[in-house]
Amino acid sequence: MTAHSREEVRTAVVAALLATQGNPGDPASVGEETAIGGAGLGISSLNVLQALVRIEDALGIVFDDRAVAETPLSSVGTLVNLAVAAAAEGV
Amino acid sequence: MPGSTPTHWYNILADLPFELPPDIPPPPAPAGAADAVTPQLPLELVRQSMTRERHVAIPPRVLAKYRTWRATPVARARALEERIGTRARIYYKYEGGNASGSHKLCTALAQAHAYAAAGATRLVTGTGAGQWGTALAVACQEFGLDCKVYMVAKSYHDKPYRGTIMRLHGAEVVPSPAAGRPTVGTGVHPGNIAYAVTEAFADARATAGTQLSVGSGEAYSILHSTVIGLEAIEQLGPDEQPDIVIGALGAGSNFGGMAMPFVGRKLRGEADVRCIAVESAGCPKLTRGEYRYDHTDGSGVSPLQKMYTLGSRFVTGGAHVGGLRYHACSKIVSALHHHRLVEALAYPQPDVFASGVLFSRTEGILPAPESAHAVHAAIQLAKEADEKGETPVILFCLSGHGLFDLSSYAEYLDGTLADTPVSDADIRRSLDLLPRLDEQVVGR
Repeated sequence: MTAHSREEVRTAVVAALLATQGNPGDPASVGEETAIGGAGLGISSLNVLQALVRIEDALGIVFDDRAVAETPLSSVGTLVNLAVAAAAEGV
Repeated sequence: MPGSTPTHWYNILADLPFELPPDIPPPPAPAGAADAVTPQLPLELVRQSMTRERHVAIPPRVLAKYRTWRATPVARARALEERIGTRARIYYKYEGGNASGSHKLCTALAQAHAYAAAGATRLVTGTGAGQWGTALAVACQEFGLDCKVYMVAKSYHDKPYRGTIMRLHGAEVVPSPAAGRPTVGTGVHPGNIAYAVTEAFADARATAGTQLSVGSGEAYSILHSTVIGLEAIEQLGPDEQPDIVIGALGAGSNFGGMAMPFVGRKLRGEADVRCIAVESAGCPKLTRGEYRYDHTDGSGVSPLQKMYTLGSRFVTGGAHVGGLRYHACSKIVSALHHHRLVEALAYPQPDVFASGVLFSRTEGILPAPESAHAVHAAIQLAKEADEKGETPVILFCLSGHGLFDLSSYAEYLDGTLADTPVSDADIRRSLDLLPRLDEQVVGR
């Protein structure tokens, strides 16, 4: 079992997402409601997947591939939820 | 030579002495685009592309499939050696003895497994000569996925039995572009792999449960193919390791699958070996292209990768050029070539077909035209060694059989096989259509 607070998970998710873009902007300005694509962070699907792998490494978790594929990746909070679920699985 | 099936793939990224240039994301979504993003790849393939672990475990279900035909044989081409009168020792590793007839099944099975695990129900792809489309059809059948193949129109019409074997394995096959479809400017696009992939990608975006799978060039497809070189190292044993390793180059999985384990040994100081990628003179990206950012397909919206390229709008015209029509070369192989860690040669197709026929008449296996490029290089390098008084061990990847390519061999035997050289002006025109992005990336 890997134990992380939701805030720790959110910090790791934001750091991984911003890293895909060369770390522009202030992490504090990115909330769970911030959109991943479109007018939000504007991150491509491939970069989001790369961010997920970095999150796995940072938190010592493994995402469920099917859950990732079937979940609309709309906001930062979506990724936080996936990471919290993966951590709870203890995989 | 007997051998065992590896339980792990070899990851060249663990041994690279340099960082690969970063990819450039596709253009920002237009105003009003959805805030949600939809993954186009299984996360497992992204993990495999990013890891720096030297050995990556092969999933048990994929390994079980591999073991139905691997380890593939390594044989010494004694009759060929005798016919050309060389003192070099020439070995080939034959990858044609599986349901798809080529090495492509190594990555097709791994990809189909990953897509199925991620919930996909249907895969689509583009294929040139048809080896990749056949392999994906076989793999989809193994893992319960529907499959649709967009096949470059020239190959679709020249090789009807390629389409038949794909259909036998459950795939739907269509020509790309569809006959008579007009394109802007010049009437009908003659078709190339980039265009076929673009059509397949549009299908994937429009159809629920459907994903695009690509056969060569991506880091994971090279990774999956490294079982070829790993087996060869074991099969040849410590006393007969090659001085020269050869593979044909389309986008990278053929050459990379054979060569990367040897390049790794070279980088780790364990062996001194020349690794040579052989391309068609009709699509000479490594030998005459430029090392710069380009799209991996013809859509103009895919991520940009730094690689040797002729330009994603480059069209090989009516030339057969084996299955080596892809406009660019994998970013990994490109970077290795840029750093002079692998070499490249290009040959015109009449010479290549002559060597294919010679190999068939001496060794009893008709090479796929792609593989005949490696055969031809092996013969040329053996002759060069003889002239120098050297006796190297030469190993090449006989990546597939040519039994679906008889129409091309018939053209060769009839003296009607076209040799369509590419002019510098053709290449320049295609490259001039690319954006200049290198300075922007260096500035990051």
